[in-house]
Amino acid sequence: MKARTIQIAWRNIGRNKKRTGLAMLAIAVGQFALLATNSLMRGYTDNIRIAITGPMIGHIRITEPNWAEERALDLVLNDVNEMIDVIEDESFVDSAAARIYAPVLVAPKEDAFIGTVVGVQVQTESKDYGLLSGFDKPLEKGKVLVGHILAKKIETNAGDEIAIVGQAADGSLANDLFIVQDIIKCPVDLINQLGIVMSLGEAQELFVMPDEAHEIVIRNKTSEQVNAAAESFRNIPILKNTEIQTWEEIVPQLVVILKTSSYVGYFILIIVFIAAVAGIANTLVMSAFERFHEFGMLLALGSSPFRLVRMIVSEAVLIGLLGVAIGTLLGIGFIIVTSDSGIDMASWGGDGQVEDMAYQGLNLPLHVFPRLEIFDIILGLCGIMFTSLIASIWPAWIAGRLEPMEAMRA
Amino acid sequence: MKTIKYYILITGLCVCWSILPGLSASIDKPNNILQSAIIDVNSPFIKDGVLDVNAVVKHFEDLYRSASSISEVELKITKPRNERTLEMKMWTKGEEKALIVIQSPAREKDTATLKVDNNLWNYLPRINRTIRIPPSLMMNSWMGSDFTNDDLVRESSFTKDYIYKLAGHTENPPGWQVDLIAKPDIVGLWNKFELIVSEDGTIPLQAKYYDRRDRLARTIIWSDVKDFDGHIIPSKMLLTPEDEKGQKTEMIYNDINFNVTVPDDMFSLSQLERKR
Repeated sequence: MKARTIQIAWRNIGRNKKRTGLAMLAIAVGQFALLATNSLMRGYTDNIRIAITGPMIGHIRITEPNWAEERALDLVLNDVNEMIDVIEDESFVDSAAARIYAPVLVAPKEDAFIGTVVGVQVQTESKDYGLLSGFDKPLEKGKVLVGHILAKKIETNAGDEIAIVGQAADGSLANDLFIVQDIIKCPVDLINQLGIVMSLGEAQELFVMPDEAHEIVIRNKTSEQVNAAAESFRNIPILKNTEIQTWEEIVPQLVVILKTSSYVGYFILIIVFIAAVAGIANTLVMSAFERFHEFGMLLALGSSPFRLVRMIVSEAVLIGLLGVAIGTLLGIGFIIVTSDSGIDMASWGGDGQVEDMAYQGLNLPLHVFPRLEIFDIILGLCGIMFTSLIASIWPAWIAGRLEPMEAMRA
Repeated sequence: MKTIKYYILITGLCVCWSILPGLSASIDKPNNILQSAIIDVNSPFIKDGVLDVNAVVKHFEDLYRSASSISEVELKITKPRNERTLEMKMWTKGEEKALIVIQSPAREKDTATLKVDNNLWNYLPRINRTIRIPPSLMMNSWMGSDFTNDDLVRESSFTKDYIYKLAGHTENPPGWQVDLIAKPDIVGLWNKFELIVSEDGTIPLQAKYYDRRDRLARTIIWSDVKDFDGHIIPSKMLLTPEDEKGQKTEMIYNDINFNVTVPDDMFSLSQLERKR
């Protein structure tokens, strides 16, 4: 497209500033909506993904083959220490942590309540993305951490003594007294609702599970190649009689949510597309009808119809580009403003009492940090350019078919 | 030849005649219930050859009860991957009071359960703590067995909370089937249960318990009838839950003394926590 044509097109879009401004505003709002929605959804799905592959089930989980279905206390992994050593020898593994889950009665005073003891390797789980991530005090012997919702229900506080009664793996009665070291809030809903977290060693002793555990949660160094990693574990002799599952196999429902979320951007793009087509087409058609006389003059002076078409298409592209530029600036501004504080989506839903949303045993934080990718800007730009060209077809077609004499008389 | 044909025809008709009623009974009535069976048994619960269902249900309710009792019981808990046996001593007074103390194995020795009215406490000697089981946990397992806390407390009354009717006579096991259906305004575990008692109506043989969705939840089979202190009762009770494969709990009464002197303070929290 020649520079002269673009120059004329630029001049033409400035003729009716209000109309052009409105068309650009529609495109800018559309681009901003696209960027804001995509960045929010990405932030939200980041929360879900981190919660799943972090404290909940890691990238890969190893259990006794029937444990996931039955959750029976005596369906255990044996030789857990050796298993963890072998797993951590793999170069792609960041951490491997054994856990025990046991339903119990917990009694701070006389009355008993239902709870679940979760035995964890405190040091490993205190790392980033672990079950106790952010909990910097070492868990002392004879002490436990209690989920904040359970603590409220049973009216217990740090320093209180609680009795824990349950059934051991050998069927005998497991019971002991523990001191509540702290009340915790965790991304895994089970811990908040029912959890009594104690060290793996003490849980093994209480439930008669020497060197045994219910699951080993593995976090890889990266989220890539999880399936290949799981396959390599399946070939390790000591893990032969275990069930090895990737996080996508364990929570397929959440995977569907993650995939569905990624399509929201395309839905917004379609709306932007329709808004842009309507806005630009309206502006250009009105502009073309107003300039029939001028087009007739240009044709009479020797301009080719194709030059008129180029001019109108150039106007459409310029309006689109300017609209995208304004929308992108607004979108980047939104990300900059919210990058530190994030957005508390819980506050949109009412009185602010709800901080997180629980689904599938997972606590999904509603405090979202929007994350923008260059792909989002390019997606909007390509979409608007495409729609600008589509929107210019009709006015360009009208201009290209004009007869000079008839146009001058119009 | 003609005689042989007639003989075969008549024999065939006789066989059909004898089979058909049985077929119709097994098709129309579950558990081979023969509604019209008249049993000639000398029993206080049989009147004119038919079971006196009111008397039977009352008898069943009070079967293991009396003014007081002291018993020694063995509880065999079988799970798919382990098996254990608890030996217990039980004291009861009327319907409302019971104390159960575990005698062995050593790990659980002196662990005790006290029932007074509809309250239940567990004493745990290892940590020297007594905890009360709240009503919300009544359906939880008792000591890891298939019996629930509610089975011990038995808040419900068969005669007051259930509508019962005689379903008919059964062949397997041979006896009478009584259907007990929970009254509409009663909130409880069992929607209904089918109790089969012996021909004379004195001994329970089998009970199938159905949950609120009318699914078979568990079966209890009584056996080994013994004379304990003049009371003729089954000494063995086998409970099999339907939803737990390979799991069962067997309760065996080794000894029961009825109407013995049991002091009232036996059923107190201080007695529960007493060192034995």
